[in-house]
Amino acid sequence: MRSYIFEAIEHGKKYPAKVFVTSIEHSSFHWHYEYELILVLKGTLSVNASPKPAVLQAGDIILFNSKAIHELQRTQEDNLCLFIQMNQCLFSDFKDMNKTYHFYLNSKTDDLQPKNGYRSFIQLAANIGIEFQRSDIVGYYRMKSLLYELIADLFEYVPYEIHQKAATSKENENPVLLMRIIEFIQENFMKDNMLDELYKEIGVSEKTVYRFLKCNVGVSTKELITACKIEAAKPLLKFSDKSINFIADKCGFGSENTFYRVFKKEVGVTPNEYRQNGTTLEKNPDVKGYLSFSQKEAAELLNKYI
Amino acid sequence: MKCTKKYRLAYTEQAQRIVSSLSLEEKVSLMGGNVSLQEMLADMTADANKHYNYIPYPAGGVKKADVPPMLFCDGPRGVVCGNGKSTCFPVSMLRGASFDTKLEEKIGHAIGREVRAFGGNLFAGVCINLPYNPGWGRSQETYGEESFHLGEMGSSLMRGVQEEDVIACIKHYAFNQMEISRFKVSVDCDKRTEREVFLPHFKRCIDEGAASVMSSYNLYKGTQCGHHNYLLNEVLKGEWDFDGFVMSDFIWGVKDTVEAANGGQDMEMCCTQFFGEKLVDSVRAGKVPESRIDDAATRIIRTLLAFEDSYNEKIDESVIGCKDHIALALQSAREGITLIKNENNVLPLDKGNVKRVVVLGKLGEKEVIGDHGSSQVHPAYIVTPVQGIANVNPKAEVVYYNGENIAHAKKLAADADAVVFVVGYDHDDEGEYISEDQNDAYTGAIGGDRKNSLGLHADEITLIKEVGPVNQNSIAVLIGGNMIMIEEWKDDVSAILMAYYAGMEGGTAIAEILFGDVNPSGKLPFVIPFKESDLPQVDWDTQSQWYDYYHGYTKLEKEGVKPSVPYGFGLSYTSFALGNASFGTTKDTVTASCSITNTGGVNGTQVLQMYVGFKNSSVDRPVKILRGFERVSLRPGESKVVTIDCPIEQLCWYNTDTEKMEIEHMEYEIYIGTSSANEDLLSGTFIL
Repeated sequence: MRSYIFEAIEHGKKYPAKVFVTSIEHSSFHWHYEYELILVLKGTLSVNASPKPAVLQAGDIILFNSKAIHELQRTQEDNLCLFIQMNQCLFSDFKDMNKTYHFYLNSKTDDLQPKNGYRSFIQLAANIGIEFQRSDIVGYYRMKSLLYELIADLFEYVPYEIHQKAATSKENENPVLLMRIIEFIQENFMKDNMLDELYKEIGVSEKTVYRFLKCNVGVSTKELITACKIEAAKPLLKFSDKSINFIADKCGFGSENTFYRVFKKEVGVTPNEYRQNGTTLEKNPDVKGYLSFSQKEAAELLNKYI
Repeated sequence: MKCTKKYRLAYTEQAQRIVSSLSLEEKVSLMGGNVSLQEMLADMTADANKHYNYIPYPAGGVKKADVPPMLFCDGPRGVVCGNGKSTCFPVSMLRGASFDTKLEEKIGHAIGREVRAFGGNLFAGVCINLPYNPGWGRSQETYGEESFHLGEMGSSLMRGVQEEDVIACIKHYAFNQMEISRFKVSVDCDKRTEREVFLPHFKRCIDEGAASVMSSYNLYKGTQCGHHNYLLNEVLKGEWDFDGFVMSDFIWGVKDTVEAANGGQDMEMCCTQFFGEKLVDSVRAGKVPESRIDDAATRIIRTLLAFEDSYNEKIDESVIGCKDHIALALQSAREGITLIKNENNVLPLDKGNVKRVVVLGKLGEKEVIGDHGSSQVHPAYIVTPVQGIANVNPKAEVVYYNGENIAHAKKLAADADAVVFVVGYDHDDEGEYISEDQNDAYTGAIGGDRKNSLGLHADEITLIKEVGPVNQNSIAVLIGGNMIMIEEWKDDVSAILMAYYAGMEGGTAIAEILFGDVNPSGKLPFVIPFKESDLPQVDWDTQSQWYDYYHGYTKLEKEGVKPSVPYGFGLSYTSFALGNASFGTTKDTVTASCSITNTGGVNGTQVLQMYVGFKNSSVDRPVKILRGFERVSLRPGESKVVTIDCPIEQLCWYNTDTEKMEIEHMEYEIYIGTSSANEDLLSGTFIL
């Protein structure tokens, strides 16, 4: 199995969701726990994801399920897209944490359509995009209500599957614990004794963390740490003039040799090659491949879809 | 059972002494429920955490004379009281399919203990009505279509309950097998039908010592059953010498003070509307003799004293929904779920090979435990079919889809190693009926009889017909309280499992059977015909209904109509060989015995059934009727000899000339085997 990049999405403290408008240049194959709704506001967006690649046009809407691997790419024309990234916890059955929901919402396909059509989802998404800009108390509650409405609509109108896990399985999906583990690793991956600290901090054994990650994310603890290190190294290679040795050390690779070997294996090129030509990489490592755009234009476009 | 009839009768003098010390008002106060209609409705509607019978409903009780109140708990799926606590057993129909009287008695013990733990002293969940047509919406509350079997199962539950010093109430007496019309329908039938088909199971439970009876809502021959002099005074208390008390069905079971009291009604439940002051006035006006009040008061006090004196153990709440009881609920589901088709031995599924299971149909992820009316039990949790499948085979990928989009369902089915359709009914399709409008009904459900069809919903039939053939390993799991027609779609799946409403652990048991952890042993307690019209027809919304002598398998057999699946049929994952049948009689019993060998490769349980035939009868009698059964478990290669006997009096017919149950002296056919179908039976004869 290919190891894909895991993208951590930081949620605001206010809502278990993140909303933004951006232009996409290229966001290579990645996955995240969040359910991600994208509404194309302008131009076209090429999407590589199950069940088949598609080019979304302005007015198209698509939902990526939690942990669904996907790639987004600019086409010939510029695009502007609304992203609504919703925490997995919003989609949990309070009675059974062993269920995950897999929705089919993609206005580019004809086979599984929402019972009430795409129009209301597009409107709702645009509304969320607009309300998210507000910072007052009305906006706070309006935003919450719209988010929950969106989720209720997904359950009521959109075809979905339930992926059921055993109640007795020790690898139970527990999003809160899972996120704690992943966040801890992301924040501390460069430290030598990070894993010992993790086991102590979270109060789980090495074996449990391993099984937990493997079962829920499909990667081992070691693979996740490696991915974090590589993602941290990339911008340093690209945008700094720090030495390879410094970067290897800073990112927790231990030695330059290890850095070379691991980087080559995971990225396909050596750190030096990557530094010299490399693939597209944006300066802001949090939001990869998201280009800047005019806020005013975004607001106008969103209003068009309400 | 400590509180036998004999034991109870020993309290007669004490009860009479108390009665003679009470005023008329006090005596009458014993004869009615202490719950106001407002209180009852508040339980059901005002507080979302409460519901009907949240606490035991009291009736009577006189402090100064140390007469305890009767404290009513409903059933039969478990104890209705509390929220998130009780053990939710499979419905009685599934328990009937287990043909396991010993297990039913154990369930009775568990229920009895939970009743006591809730503070109750009466369990009104021994429902033994005989569904004349399987469309009856509450047939899930009873055990099957066969009177003898109903008597065996009902009296077993009653015994277990009463052994825990809890009064068992047998219901609904009598002829209550239509739901939508229950408040208005007058049932009529001829005398032989009454005595041979609809009353014997009630008599059986009374003979075995049941201490309480609930009268039904409906009318019999034009008279309200709660007022029925013939049914209550003449038959129950007269001929059958019943020593306990009668209570009315709730709120609308008594409609006239004088007629009910004189008709033999002892207790108006659960709100006092026509008894109480009105009854006191009627006695004072000379319309109801005071001796009738004394009789009712004596019956109530005697029964309560006997049971309360006998109850010394203080059972606390920890027994409610305890591990042992839940284990019993699971065992019951394992024994009752019935395999009715298994082409090419597609079941059991192989855990090693089945890596991806697709569950289709709306009921697959629903917590279906049956009706949301008075029998709804509120357990701590309910395992759905899809959860059960994931739990039992944790390594498999388990995907659920409701099946609305056929193309998508087909795609899922094509990629799966096995497809499980979970189809059938829920509380909106069948159950206790209040109103067509969910909002008007305190149950929050529509319920009622299956008046339009005894088959699956149209969308479920389409789903099975379209998607079933896509995957060789396709299994239909049927959810419902009684017979579901299978003709339209049965060839489109490889296996059919009748799961009834399998209780809080139902999903677990279904999955254990699908994957072979449990070998199915249930037997259909009803016949599945090829055509609905093979069954007696009922006008579900009517003021009057005639019941014929024949129904179910006896009707099909009498008319020479072959069933799709015979009464008493159920497959196993092993095979059995029967031999060495012998039949005989003693002074009081008729006996059938045979050897049975497990000729397959796994442990298995078979239900051997004994039928008696009446070909030589000089009157119109069934071809044959079930008169005994026995569960037998065998390891591969193991053989046992099984003997089943039945009291000769169970072979009586009702002679309308002499007005007596009589034995015919003639040669009878007798059968022993694994279903009611001739090819599954060994036969012989005996002479009486």
